[in-house]
Amino acid sequence: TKNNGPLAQIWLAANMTNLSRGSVQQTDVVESAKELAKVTGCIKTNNSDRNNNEDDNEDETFKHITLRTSGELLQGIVRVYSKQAGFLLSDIKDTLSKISALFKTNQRINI
Amino acid sequence: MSASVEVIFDNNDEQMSLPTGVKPKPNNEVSIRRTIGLKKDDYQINDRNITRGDMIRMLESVGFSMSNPYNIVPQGKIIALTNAKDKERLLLLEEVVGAKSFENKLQASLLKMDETEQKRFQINKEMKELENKLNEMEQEKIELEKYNNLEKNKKVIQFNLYDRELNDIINQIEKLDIEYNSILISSEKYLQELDKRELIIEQLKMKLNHIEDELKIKNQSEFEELNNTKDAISQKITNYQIKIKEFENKIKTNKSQLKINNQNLKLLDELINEKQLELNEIKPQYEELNNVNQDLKFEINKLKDQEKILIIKNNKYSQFANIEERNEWIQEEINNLNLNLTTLNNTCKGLEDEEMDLTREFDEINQKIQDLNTSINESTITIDEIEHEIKDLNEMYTKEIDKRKELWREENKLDTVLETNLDSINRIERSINENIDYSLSQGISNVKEIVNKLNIPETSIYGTLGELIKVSEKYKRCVEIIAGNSLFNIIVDTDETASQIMNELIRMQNGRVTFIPLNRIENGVNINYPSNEESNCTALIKKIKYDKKFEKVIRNVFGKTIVVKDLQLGNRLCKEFKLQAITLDGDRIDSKGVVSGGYFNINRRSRLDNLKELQRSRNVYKNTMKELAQIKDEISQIDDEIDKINAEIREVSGKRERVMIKNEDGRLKLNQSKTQLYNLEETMVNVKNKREQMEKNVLLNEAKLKEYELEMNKEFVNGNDGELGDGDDELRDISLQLKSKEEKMLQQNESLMALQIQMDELKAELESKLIRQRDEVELKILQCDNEGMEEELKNLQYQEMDETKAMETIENDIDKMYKDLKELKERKGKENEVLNKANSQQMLLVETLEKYKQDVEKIMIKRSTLNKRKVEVETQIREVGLISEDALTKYTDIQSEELVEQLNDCNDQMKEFSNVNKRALENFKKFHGKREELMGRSHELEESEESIKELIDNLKEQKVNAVERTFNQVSENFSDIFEQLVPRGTGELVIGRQGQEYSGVSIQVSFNSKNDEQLQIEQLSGGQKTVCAIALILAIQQVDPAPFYLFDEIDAALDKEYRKSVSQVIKRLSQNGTQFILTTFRSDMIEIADMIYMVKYHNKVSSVYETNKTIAMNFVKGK
Ligand SMILES: Nc1ncnc2c1ncn2[C@@H]1O[C@H](COP(=O)(O)OP(=O)(O)OP(=O)(O)O)[C@@H](O)[C@H]1O
Ligand SMILES: [Mg+2]
Repeated sequence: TKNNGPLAQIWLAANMTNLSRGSVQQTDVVESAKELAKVTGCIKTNNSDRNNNEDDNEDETFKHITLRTSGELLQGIVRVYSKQAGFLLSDIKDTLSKISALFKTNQRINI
Repeated sequence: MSASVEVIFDNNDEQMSLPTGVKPKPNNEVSIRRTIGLKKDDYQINDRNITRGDMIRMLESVGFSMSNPYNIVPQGKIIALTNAKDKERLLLLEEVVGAKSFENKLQASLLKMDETEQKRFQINKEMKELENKLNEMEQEKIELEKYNNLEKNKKVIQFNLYDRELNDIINQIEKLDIEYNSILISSEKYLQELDKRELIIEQLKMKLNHIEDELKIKNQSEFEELNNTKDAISQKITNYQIKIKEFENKIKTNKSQLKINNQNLKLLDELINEKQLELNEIKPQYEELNNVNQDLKFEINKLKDQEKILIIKNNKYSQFANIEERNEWIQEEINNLNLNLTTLNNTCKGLEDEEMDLTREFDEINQKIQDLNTSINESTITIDEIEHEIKDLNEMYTKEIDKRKELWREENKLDTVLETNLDSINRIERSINENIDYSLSQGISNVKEIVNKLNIPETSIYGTLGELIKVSEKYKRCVEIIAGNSLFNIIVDTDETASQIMNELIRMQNGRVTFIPLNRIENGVNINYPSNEESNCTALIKKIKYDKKFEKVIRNVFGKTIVVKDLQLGNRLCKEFKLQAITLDGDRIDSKGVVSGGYFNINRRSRLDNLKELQRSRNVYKNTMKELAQIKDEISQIDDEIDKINAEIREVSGKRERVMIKNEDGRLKLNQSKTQLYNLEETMVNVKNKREQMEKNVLLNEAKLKEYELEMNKEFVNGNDGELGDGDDELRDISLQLKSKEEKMLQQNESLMALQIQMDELKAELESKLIRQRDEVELKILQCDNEGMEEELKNLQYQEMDETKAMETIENDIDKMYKDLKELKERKGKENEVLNKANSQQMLLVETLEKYKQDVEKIMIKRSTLNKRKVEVETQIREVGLISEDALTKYTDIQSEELVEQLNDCNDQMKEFSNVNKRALENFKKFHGKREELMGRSHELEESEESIKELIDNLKEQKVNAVERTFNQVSENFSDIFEQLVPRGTGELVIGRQGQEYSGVSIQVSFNSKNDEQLQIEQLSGGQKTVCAIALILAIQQVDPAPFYLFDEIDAALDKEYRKSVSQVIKRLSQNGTQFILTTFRSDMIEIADMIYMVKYHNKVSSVYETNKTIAMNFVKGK
């Protein structure tokens, strides 16, 4: 169940130590956070919708499972977010260095 | 030493999430195994090793936490839950909700958020710098655009200029091509001439080679051979001459000897005759004398007897008184005489017998002599025969030897031929090898060796490609150029053979060859050739003759080539049909239009010719080898024959020796027998004489006897009567007669003796000396076989004549050979002259051609430089790139000089922009895109942060709610279940608070009243404590259900009624898909169980097995 949903990536992020750059970049943190909130029943409107559709018992077990795991998922989301920031930073630095290198070579040519 | 324990879970609802890398089993079971050894402690899931951490995480994902083992209750530990402090129970409940781990994760997440905040700050800073840089870039970009415009202009001008140059070049090339073709056509004539001359020279060379070979053969083998035979024959002649001389000498001496012997013989014969005559003369004399003597003797004896009788009569009769007395005495005398007679007769008979015996023996010996004679004759004949045979054999021997000599000569000749052949093979191979790479030639010659060494059958290796094709003179050059080095590729039947040889070659590390295994050649695609009539060309492959077997190979090498008349045509066809073309002069054009070849090397002999020649020489070599082997075979055969004949000769000689010995032996025996015969004859004569004597004696005795008988019948008269006178007279008479006779006898005897002596002497001389001598001389005469010698001599002379004749023929031959050699040498000189002439003519031709060649080369160089320029210009045009249509027409009216000026202008202007960054545009585009992307991502991050913060707030609130809700739920459930277990009492879970925080969870129960008569925990009995604990566990179970529960003897301390109610409640809860596993010694649990297992401890091993309810009940009760 957890592995197939939209939170699969997050679950993996929570549990795995090394995350590939590609999977990190693909993950949409905002979407994931919304999804997690929905699943844990934080968002009231959605929750009431759910209550109408499904019976209480299921909802309760639903909640109990997620309280233990929501912590982990939260950690996963944060990890992804942090990683994304890290990647962005290094990308920017990279680009900057490339540009400055370019400038240097140009200068050389001009001399 | 190790032990392992395994638990198998049913995971059909997939609550348990397997660690990465572990495959689920098909039936969805999960088996967990722990293996404990002395050193290691391993965990396995579905037979795959995993870490302890993975194992714990997996178990926790379904609620098996190390910190809340409330679903597994060990033996006797059930009341611990009741005895625990309030604080501990609170922790347990919080664990149930998962609040604790949530809190941990939350703290970690917050920490991470702070870190990320730092990063974000940095990002913003860097972003600003990036912005600055990009602005600079934009400036550059604008400059670049200006520059580009200028450049475009320049390109157009350049294009026009280049285009003009290109047209110019193409025109020039065309002109050169025309010039080239005209030169080619004019040189064609010379070339044909050259080819013809080349052919002539080649033929001359071949002829010369043949002459040289012949010369060599003649010089080395035939001439030498002739000389050798001549030497041998002269040797033979001298030998014969020596022998003839010897024989002649011998015959001479023999003849003189014979003369002497004959003289001697005559002398001896005369002597013998003389003696014999003498003897014969003497003999009758002697015999007469002897007879007379005998008669005399007889008479004397008779007279003596008469005298004696008379005397006796006189004496005796006087003695007798009467007739009776007298008669008695006479009778006695008669008796005596008779007795004597009988003995005499007996002796006579004995002598007769002896005589007969002797005669028989004589006959026997005679027979023997005859036999011996015949046998000697026979053996003499045999010896003759044998000698004949030996002669025949000797003749055969010499014949065979001659034959062998002939063969040796032949062998010698063939050896020389072989040698010259090998020389020519080597020569050709050398000239082939000059034209190819050293390692390749090395490889090819090594392959031959390897094939011999590995015994690879000839049918699996066919030879080099060049050896296997036939091409007419006209197309030879094309084939050679197209094939190139693949002429020397070796064709084999399979890649197996190839790799076999290859491995050996690699092992030898000497040489390199390419193999074409027939089984590996792909059938090439079908090739379209331009039709003949239309295009004036032909496919090269049609001009090659080859074995169908090699079709694929030939197609591979030559299939894509057509032969064309000239380069232009070739060029067109090549492009059109995607083929390569070749002219008869060897100029080659491939489908890309590249021309190669140009002028060919005149002085180089065609490789194909060489290969062909090599093939031919090899064949000759092989045939000669075969012939040689055959001759060697014959020689060995003749050797055998000679050996055989030798052995036969030896054998026959031995036989002759044996027969001769036997013959000698026979002669000896014959002589012996002859002597014996002679002796016998003598004895016989003696015996006869003796017998005759005896017979005479008998007669005498008989006479005496008659007388006595007469006497007896006479009247007795007294002795002294008148009769006495008578008697006296008679007596006197007799004695007188006797006396005279005795005298005569004495005389006779003397003369007889003399005669006897004379006779004996004669006989002795005859027999012991003369006859023997004569016999010896006769034997000598017989032995000296002059006739045979003369025959031999004649033979020898004939042979000598033969040899002399042979010598003459050989000398003739030698003379002829000299002549031949001379002629050959002359011819060689002539041919050499012709060759030199041809060569010098050739040189002249070559020189003219050389001139042409230089011209052509010049053209080619020009052409190639032009081509190079063309390619350059073409690439320059390509570099200029695409130009719009109007740009092409824009400058058509402007002169080139003007265009150059404009170009210079353009270049000047462009110089101002020398600092322009040519990649500015591209860079700008690139980094602009990058910047957009990075900005977007930064923005996204911002949004993410916000959403996470919101989420965290939500979750915090959620947690509080959840804990609250769970606590309420659990306490509600507790009261519920407690009431079910203890219908008379009540129970309650009280959650204590200190402000916002929870402080503890206490249990308040009463067992016998619904009123508030609550008991302190310490006051409860063991059974009551157990009930409380069970109620708590089951209450939690309803909120946070574990997949199964394991209770070890929780009913040990329970009363009967509680046992019943507990079992009822468990039964009910087990309906919701939760599994309860219980151990018990009571019947109540057994009553409600779905499955029952028994544990048995036997032989120090405890085993578990399934059983049914009744047996279990009996077991529990029976105990
Ligand atoms: N297969 C086994 N191999 C080695 N030791 C064993 C084995 N089975 C049991 N034991 C040992 O025997 C002892 C008793 O085992 P255990 O407490 O499991 O028995 P039990 O059936 O629960 O007893 P009870 O009915 O009293 O609760 C323990 O010390 C245990 O280590
Ligand atoms: Mg036990």
